[in-house]
Amino acid sequence: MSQDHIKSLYRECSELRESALALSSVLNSMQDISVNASIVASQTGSRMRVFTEIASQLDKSSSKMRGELERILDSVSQILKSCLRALMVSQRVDQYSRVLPHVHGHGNRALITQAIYRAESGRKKIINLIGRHARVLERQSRQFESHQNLLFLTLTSIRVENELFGNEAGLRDLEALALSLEDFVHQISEDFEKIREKIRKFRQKTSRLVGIGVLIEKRNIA
Amino acid sequence: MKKEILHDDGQVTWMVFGRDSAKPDSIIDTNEYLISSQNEAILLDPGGMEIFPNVLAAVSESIEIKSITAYLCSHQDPDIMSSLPLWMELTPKAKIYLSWLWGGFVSHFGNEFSKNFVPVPDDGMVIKVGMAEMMLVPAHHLHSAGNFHLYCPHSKILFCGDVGSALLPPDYPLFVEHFKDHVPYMDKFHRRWMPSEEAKDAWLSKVRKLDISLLCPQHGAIFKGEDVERFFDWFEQLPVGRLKRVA
Repeated sequence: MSQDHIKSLYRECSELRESALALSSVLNSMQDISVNASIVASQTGSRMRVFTEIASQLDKSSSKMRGELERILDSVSQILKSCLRALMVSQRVDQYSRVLPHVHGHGNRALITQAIYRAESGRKKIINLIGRHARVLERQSRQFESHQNLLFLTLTSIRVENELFGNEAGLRDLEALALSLEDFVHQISEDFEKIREKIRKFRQKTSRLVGIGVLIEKRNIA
Repeated sequence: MKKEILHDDGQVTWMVFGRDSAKPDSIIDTNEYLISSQNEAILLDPGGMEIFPNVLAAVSESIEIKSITAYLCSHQDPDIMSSLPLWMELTPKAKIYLSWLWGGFVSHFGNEFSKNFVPVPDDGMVIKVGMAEMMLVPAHHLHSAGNFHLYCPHSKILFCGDVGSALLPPDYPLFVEHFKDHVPYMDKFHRRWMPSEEAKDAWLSKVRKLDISLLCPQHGAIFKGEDVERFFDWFEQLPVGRLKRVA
């Protein structure tokens, strides 16, 4: 396992963080749609309950999605920190490994070999921790997806309402609402797809590194 | 990396490792000194991270690494001791002597070995390695605010950190051969790096009282015999701590 492996993990995780932050700003605009629906609801009176329902559903979904995204960002921060720690330990492994062929005396070589084993074992623990965080990330991404599906349902309901009652007085704003929500849902699903793909690749990469760590440990024990 | 034995009487041995030809040009050359006595050793200013493999390989030629029981960090600079965490991984029980002033700062290199710090008081202290009793001589503000040199009365060697340092071409001898020719290599260094006339005078009045056969700086060449006194005289008259007027 080289420093480059860990640097590449770090880079991918940084990109993941950037994508998550971009999605976070998109999600903030969802609140605007929810507020618009509330305004329409108050203007059309209590008879038009559909707007109130829409506003409340959007509000719930957006706050759940934002919460989930914050948890994703927390996990990403943990991974970034762990990557830096693993990088520091890797530098140590590299320094000792560079010197080992030039070291004189059996006792000195044994001392440095042990230091390499200890550092490799410490690095393996950190990589395992990154692996655990990556699994958590995957769970969180599935959770986010379920909230996103609820949003699709809300959009479908608005479309149905619009088809059936769009021409009735007080419900003409439904179409505008459906259109802005459509754009918004499209944007979220596009952005989230990128995040999901990055998480998937990240997870694969960490699994490989966890595997390499196990192999190194087996070699050291042997 | 060149190795030279500076003193060996069967009880105390001084070695220097320097002129590292394997190091990149962008890294300033440093001298690492190893004092060993009765299966114990102290490494003075163990050096930076980059040169750690070369220093470790060179030291391993001479002693069992685990016999290193102490390190002296004359001050806090990266070329002095950024490799310390790597050394401490190999010698986790070793003491680290450094000015009390720097403990909290140096811990940023790795807090796990802060328990090994021996904070040296401003007035200095006596330390013992094997049978060698040595003095940590205050050299504050030369150039660091918390700075110590090491004097070994047994071998009459003064390790003088950055004082006496010179920026030399790679093939320069390990010892000063012609003092006058050596001056240009250390003149600018001392004018710029040594910030206080008062500190310089205080240090000179202290070290002139010591019986010194070798003066060993962390960079550059070692002064021996009469060149020790020549260096003191030269340093005494050198104006230091003056900032050039910037237009």
